[in-house]
Amino acid sequence: MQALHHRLRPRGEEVAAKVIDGEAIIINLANGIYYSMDKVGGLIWDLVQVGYSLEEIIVAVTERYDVSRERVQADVQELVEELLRENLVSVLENGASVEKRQLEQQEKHLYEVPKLNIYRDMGDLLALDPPTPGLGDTPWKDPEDETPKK
Amino acid sequence: MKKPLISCIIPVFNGERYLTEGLDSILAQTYRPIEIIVVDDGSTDGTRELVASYGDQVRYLWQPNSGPATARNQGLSAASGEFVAFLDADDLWHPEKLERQMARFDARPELDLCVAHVQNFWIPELHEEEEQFRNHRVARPLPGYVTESLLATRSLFKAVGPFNTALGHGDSTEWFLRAAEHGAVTELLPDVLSYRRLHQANRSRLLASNSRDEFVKIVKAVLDRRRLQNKTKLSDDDSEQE
Repeated sequence: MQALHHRLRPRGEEVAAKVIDGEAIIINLANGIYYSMDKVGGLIWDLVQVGYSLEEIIVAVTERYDVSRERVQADVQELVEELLRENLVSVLENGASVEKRQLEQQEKHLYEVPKLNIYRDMGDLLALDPPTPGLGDTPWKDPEDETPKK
Repeated sequence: MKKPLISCIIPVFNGERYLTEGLDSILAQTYRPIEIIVVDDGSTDGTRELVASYGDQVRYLWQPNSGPATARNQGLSAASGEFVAFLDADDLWHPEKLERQMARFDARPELDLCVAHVQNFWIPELHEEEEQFRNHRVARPLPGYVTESLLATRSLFKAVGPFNTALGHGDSTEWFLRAAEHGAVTELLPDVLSYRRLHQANRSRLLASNSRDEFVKIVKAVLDRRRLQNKTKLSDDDSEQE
């Protein structure tokens, strides 16, 4: 379980991600596995990318959705563990605070548990030609790979 | 029985440095009949003259610089083979590439496309980088879901559509994803049949930063299409029950 002041950081070199139409699309370039999260999950990823702490994410979700704080806190913690297990984020224990987004909506939306959808059908497709920033930064790693020295 | 014609398409932009080796690796193919189509993507170097020196063996097409996807599509439009294959101007084929892949089509008439493994190799000037990556995955043969390894029926391109010219780097991956969605029957050979030259000006290096965004968008589009299909399928099932 993560302390609530922790922040998550997408693993920049190995992870390409973007929120499009409210849906987070995340690709682990090291193995071609890709992920999607919509609705509450899309919002959470968006806030992770912006640099919100877990506490700030929980507050933001509770403001926007018709749900108790306890429920959101439990769901966020579970999602964070999954993102860590999938190696998509790392934990920043002492990150700096960021400017908060203003809430414009009037009514609260119906809450749905944030769900990380996992797709494993693209590994071979990306094996040869992953979109990486130069070979020196190449994230293609196998367990038996030796890390290239710069 | 008459063997089918394979159209070999090479998109090239200022590729005179390595193009001769690439063309020679096609001419050295043990498989015949083939036709070779070079699509010059608005080169400003000696590409045109170089191709001309091959005479009737190589067909030359020109287009204003618009990217490899457009060039490959132009090659496809001009192709008359029952099968099509692609080579990038800086890469090489194994002499038996077409023969070994065609053997799979002979063995499996239902096959739509065949890819093989690809071996990266470094130009001598990048010897240091080669050493750095000696024990790394990129130095080993990799599954080649890329155009330089592909042999496909031309009819598959009619069904799946051409390369997406809006994409600068991911056009090949995006096409393979669409082919998979279409249900194309695919075989990956364990043999290394293409060699990819790593040099300072590889397009994938130059465009790497844009291509991450591009890949995320490609994946989003794939998921959207898949969900739409499932939805249509579900509503079809519903109406059947009525």
